[in-house]
Amino acid sequence: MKSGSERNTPRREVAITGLGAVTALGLGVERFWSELVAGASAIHPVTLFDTRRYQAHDAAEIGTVPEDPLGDVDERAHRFALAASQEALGESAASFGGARSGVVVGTTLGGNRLWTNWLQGGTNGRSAEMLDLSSVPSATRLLARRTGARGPAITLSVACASGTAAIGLGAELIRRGEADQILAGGYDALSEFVFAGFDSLRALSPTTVRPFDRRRDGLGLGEGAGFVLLEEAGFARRRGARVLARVRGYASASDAHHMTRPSPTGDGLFRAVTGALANAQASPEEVGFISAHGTATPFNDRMEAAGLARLFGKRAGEIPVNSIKGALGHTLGAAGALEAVMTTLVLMRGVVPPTANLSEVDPGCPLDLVSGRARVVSRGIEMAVSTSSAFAGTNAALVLERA
Amino acid sequence: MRVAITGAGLVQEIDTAPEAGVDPGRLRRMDRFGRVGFLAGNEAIRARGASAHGAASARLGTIFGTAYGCRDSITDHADLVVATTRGDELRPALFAQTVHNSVNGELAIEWGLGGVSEVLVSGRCAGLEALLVAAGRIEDGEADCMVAGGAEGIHPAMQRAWAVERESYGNRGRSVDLHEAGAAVVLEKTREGVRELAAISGGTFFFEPDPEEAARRLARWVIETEDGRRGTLCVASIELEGTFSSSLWSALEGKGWESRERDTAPDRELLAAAGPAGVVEAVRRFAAADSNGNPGDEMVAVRDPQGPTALVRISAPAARRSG
Repeated sequence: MKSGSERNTPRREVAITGLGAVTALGLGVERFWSELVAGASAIHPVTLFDTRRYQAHDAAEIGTVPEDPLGDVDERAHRFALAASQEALGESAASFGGARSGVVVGTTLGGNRLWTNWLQGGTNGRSAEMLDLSSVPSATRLLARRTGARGPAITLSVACASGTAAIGLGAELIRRGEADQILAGGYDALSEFVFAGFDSLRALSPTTVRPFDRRRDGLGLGEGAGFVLLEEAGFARRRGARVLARVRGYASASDAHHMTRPSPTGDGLFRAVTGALANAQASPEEVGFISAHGTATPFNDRMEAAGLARLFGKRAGEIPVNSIKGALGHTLGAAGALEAVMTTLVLMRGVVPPTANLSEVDPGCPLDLVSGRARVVSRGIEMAVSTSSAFAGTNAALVLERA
Repeated sequence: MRVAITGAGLVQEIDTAPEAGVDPGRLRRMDRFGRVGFLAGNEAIRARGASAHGAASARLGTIFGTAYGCRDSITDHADLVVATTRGDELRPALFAQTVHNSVNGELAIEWGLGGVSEVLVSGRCAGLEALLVAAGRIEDGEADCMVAGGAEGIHPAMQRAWAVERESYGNRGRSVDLHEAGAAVVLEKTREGVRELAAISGGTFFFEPDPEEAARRLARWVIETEDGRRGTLCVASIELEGTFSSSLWSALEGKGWESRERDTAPDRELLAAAGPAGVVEAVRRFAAADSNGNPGDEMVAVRDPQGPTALVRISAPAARRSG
């Protein structure tokens, strides 16, 4: 941490120079994007575990788990994180590492499958490592070791807002001068542990996941990983990196309302987006696209619409909005990171993917929801907001800007 | 950097701790990590002198650090998933406690903390990381007041796993048990009218698998940033690798820093609560010291054998510092 005069230097800009995605739509960013634009949905019957005792039976399960190039890593969730982060690093891997490079990762459960397996007596001869290997920060340390990062190595776990918060904190660390490069993102794997829990809350859709649709009846779970490479803008320029977008702002805020139900008026979301715009030194009038959390639960989607309408006023019905959870399910710790990857591509390409399965917009959600077909925004989009909301009332928002 | 510490709390027993005016049923429903973090945060806020709130404020936030978070509830829910045959036998309220940011939610509801809500689950250093991230946000004007700390709740299954894992550390780990604890401070901008108990005046965190290199980097930071206020350095974590502390003190030899042991359960593994516990101890030492004295800084360091390393520097309250 700086201890004095360094605080008076101009604000450092944060560039996004790499993207990585692993989802049930496919491996890699281009496959992720093309399937989203086509309006595809990867939510299908679960095969990883028996769902007969639950009300819901579908999820966006990844069929082909990426291999670990070094052959060391068994854990499904860790392989997602490895593959997506490696794609984000890409050719920049050669310039990444050392005391000025760090890793910030969001996840809800990390290597929890190893822990639950150990509880049932399955150790695979690794009991001595079980407490640590199965821990939440295990993938963060793996990435730090593999990439040679010797700066910050932080793991955030704020439920469904983890991925957004990880990218936001990563950008903050660069802005504050603690690092020049941060590999930031989120990941989580599908598990009966989580499926059973959401089913017990009656939060899973027994039919079709339809964000913002008046017939929506719950969320569908997913799995995967999303990563971005963040760099101080001058550092990126000097090494000739292509800047894909910029992270202008981030904020986190609490509903301070209820542990499992969001504030019906979207107070925490309102404060998070307001805070992120203030952090970005930007105004609501500059926002040209919103990536919503859009889980398709009756409570969440109404809450989001209320919070966004309160902030954007009349413009709330004019700014294109989408949710990608009908396409790849709710990927928990990966969700906010994958939405940031998608938002970066929206800024780069001027195209907004549709909200999969949305056909009858809930009148209680008066937003300009993109559905049916992808929308080309001919004038381009200069600035976008990506939002996430979580259990225990945590909300997080990012402001991204076109390069 | 100079961010005021205006309240501090330290909790070690959560099954017998006074319930601080909170509904006992609500406390019992919390995951053990959530409960100990909530109690520590509550104690720190009350020590600062806060009272019941009005509308939630975006300028007041929470950030906690933990190594294992809600593993207590996670373990109970996992056991239930295996033990039951029908979906309606599961407990939704239990599942809702498996999110690590439950401690933030509970404090936010209790005190109207409508701002930052984050949990760092980075391992043993997460508590000090949380303090430094919180201090940075206040310094940058992103928040007016933050409750920051570290907490650990321990399930019996975790003790069983640790009993196996600690064998890998030989004699250094064999007698060490995991222990529940929560330690939190209230951080605010330094200004007139704010009663400052101490201040966070700097810190660092990084990843370094080699304990000796980690010690050298930490020593370099201490030497390059100290400005004549040498005092004590407490390595708050249990030494499991065998070389970190000795390497650190070797690198700091002759530089005028004194070694201090952690007062709170020094032979127990407090994980991410260890660092903040050391900070709370430093705050209390400043309060107890002779008011005519000119105390030097206190440093609290934590080393995680998996690589993370962190240090926070705490300075005496402004009224006590000369020059």
